Amino acid sequence: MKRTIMTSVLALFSVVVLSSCNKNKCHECHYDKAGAEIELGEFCGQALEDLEALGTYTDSTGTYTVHCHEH
Amino acid sequence: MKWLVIVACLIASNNFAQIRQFSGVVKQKDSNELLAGITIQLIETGEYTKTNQLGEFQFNGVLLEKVSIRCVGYGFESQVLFVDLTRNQNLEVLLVEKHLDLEEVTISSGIQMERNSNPFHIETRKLSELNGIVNTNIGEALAKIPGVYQSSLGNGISKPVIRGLQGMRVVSLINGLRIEGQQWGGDHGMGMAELGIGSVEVIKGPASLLYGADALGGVIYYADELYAPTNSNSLNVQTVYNSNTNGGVGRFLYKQSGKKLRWLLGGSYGNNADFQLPNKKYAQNSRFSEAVVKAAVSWNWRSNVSHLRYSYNHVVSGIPGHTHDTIINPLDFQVDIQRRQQTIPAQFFDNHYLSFENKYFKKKNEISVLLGQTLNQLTEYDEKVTIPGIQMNLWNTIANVKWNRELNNKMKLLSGLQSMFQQNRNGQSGTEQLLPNSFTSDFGIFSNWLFEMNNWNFQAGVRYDVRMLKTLETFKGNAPLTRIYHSPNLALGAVYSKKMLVLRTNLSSGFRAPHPSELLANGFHHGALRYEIGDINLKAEKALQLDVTAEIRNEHVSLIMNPFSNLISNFIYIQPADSVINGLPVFYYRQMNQVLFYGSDLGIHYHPHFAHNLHLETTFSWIKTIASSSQGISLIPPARLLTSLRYEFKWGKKVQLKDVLVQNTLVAKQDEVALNETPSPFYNVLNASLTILIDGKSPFTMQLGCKNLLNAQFIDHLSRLKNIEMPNPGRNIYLSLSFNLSNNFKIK
Repeated sequence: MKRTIMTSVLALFSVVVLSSCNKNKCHECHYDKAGAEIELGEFCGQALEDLEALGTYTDSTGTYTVHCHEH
Repeated sequence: MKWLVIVACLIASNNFAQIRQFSGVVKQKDSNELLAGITIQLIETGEYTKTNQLGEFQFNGVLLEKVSIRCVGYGFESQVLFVDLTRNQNLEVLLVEKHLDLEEVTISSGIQMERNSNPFHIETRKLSELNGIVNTNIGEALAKIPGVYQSSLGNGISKPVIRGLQGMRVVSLINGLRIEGQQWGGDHGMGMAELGIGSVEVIKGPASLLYGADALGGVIYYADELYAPTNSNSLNVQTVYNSNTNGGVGRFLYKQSGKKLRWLLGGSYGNNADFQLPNKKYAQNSRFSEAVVKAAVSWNWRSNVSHLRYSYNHVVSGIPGHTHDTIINPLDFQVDIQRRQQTIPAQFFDNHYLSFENKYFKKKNEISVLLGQTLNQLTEYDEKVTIPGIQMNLWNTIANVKWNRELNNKMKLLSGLQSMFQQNRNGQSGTEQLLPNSFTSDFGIFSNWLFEMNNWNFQAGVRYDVRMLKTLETFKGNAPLTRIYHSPNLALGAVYSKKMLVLRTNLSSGFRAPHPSELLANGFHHGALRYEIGDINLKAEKALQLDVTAEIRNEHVSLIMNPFSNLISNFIYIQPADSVINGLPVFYYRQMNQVLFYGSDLGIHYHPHFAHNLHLETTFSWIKTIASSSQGISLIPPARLLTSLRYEFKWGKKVQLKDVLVQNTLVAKQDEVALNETPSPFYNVLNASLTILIDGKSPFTMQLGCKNLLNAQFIDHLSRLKNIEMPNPGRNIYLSLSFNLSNNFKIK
């Protein structure tokens, strides 16, 4: 009985810790233009890394700094 | 390699301990009633057992000639006995029913000694005692000790402040292993979790004699819980839920002890969403999570006891107060929706602590070797979620040797060598560098004499330290530099101890070399919300403290007064400038000739004769400064009155109402502030809890409590969120459940 409880506690702890390691790889990105947030949509994985490495978004009116986090 | 050879020689060499049997019986002093369940611990090796139903206990095996024994039982005053096993192998221990339990053994002083015989005042607290009201983090628990405060950045990051000093000026150790975790930054977490910690000791003021450079403010010494009693195992599982953060923590700790081998394994995981403010809004991005793993193994050789310990903790903590607006509106950081999902800015800490300790006993000698390795990985994401702003790895290697020799019955000598090698490396991915890649080495040699005469104990110690700092690259226009700092230090103390009176006084010195961040900083420190600029010409700080303690007590009342003055020369501080870079205010590191910190801790513990179940405990701490510059000293804690009223019940049999605790913290206003620092008004916080014990084969404890019962709105003077006018958390109702399984092995 005690062995079962011990095993259950270890298993539960492992599940919780491992699941907490599941990093959020996708983020909503936007840029600020004329006081408004212009949504760019959700970016994930390599696309997200590339967008942040570039750091800016260019449209017909100019180039703007991109943010991929809430503020 | 050299250390390994020394350790191997110590293990292999001839020993002094022999196979002995040692037994005894524990009784209540007045009634002679036999006492079951009393813990009997051999202090030197950490082994312990419990008395059986007839009050008997027994130790078999390899035992030292002279042992120190601690006898502890719930409801009784603990006792420490020093026994010569060549003369006495059958003990009778008489315990007195507890009124006030003040006899404690301190370990942070390098020698196991009773608190009352120690010329230096050391605050010793069991973690369970500090958790009378459940704490969100260990810093909050420490802040219940007189003279100790916390500087917090939300719930996730909390750092200890001792007598007004913090950061690099406070040294933390776990089982003797120095914790290095970029503590120069007020926003960098402490890297310490409650899991498996049994007690904490606080040395207030300079403690360079035993711990080397830096400890000008004091030392916090964490000690692990005891292993399971000999030939038994145990499992403790605990979970805590906090309404305020809609989160909590789950922990388990398994322990197993045989005759020679003892080990433990534990883990915990905590997750908290943004905390709720008294106005029902939430502090944006104050969420945090923490995962901890801990393992330790200990074994007894013929005349050695060895400990191998490892712990790891991983913390993700949001940093509130982030904005791209040029004009900051503090209300923008108070939001209507409580969120848990991690966003940026956030700090990721990974801390690894590995240590090996071997204690070798031979006749009147105890030689202790401690080898340790720590790694602190700090990654801060500020503006981008995939590219860190700061990434630093701090490696720290420690090798300490201590030799404790009993010269005669009255005199002991403690000598030692300490070394520390530290390397700071910036990660490749970080876009900013706050510190250069650097290497630091410390060497210290000390000797400390302890002398006992009638009711007096004296202590005198000297030490010499050398610290070398070397930066390994050109950093922000500064060529690689090498600096050597060295200093002698001393400690002198005397204590007069009688049953109802303890008087002690001591003089101690310390030194702290400037940190690379103070010498070379030139960049954005987003966590601290400032742009910092260092000064390459800073000198080492030196401190000299005079500390006096008077304790008066009888069976029902204990009074303690502990005034002090701590004079620090070449005091390094950070001064705000009247300029801004990219929206962040600019701060310069500066040095002033002298600062005098002075103040007192006062305490009273009243346990009335007519109500034996009632405990009233009040402490009052205050601190003031006199600076040689008109700038003043910032972040000085205001006066604090902490009162606890606990009533222990004896209601019920199977389901017992154990106690009710009401705790009130009254913090005075702080209007003695530094240049550009704002004053803080007074506040009052009321907490309460009740504990229920369900007795049985597996005791189950439930604690229900409420923190900030009156939902008071306040901003602590030391809160790092004060600059964005973010109040401390509002009302928090919590529930803690804990159960224990234990099992004694059949002895073949």
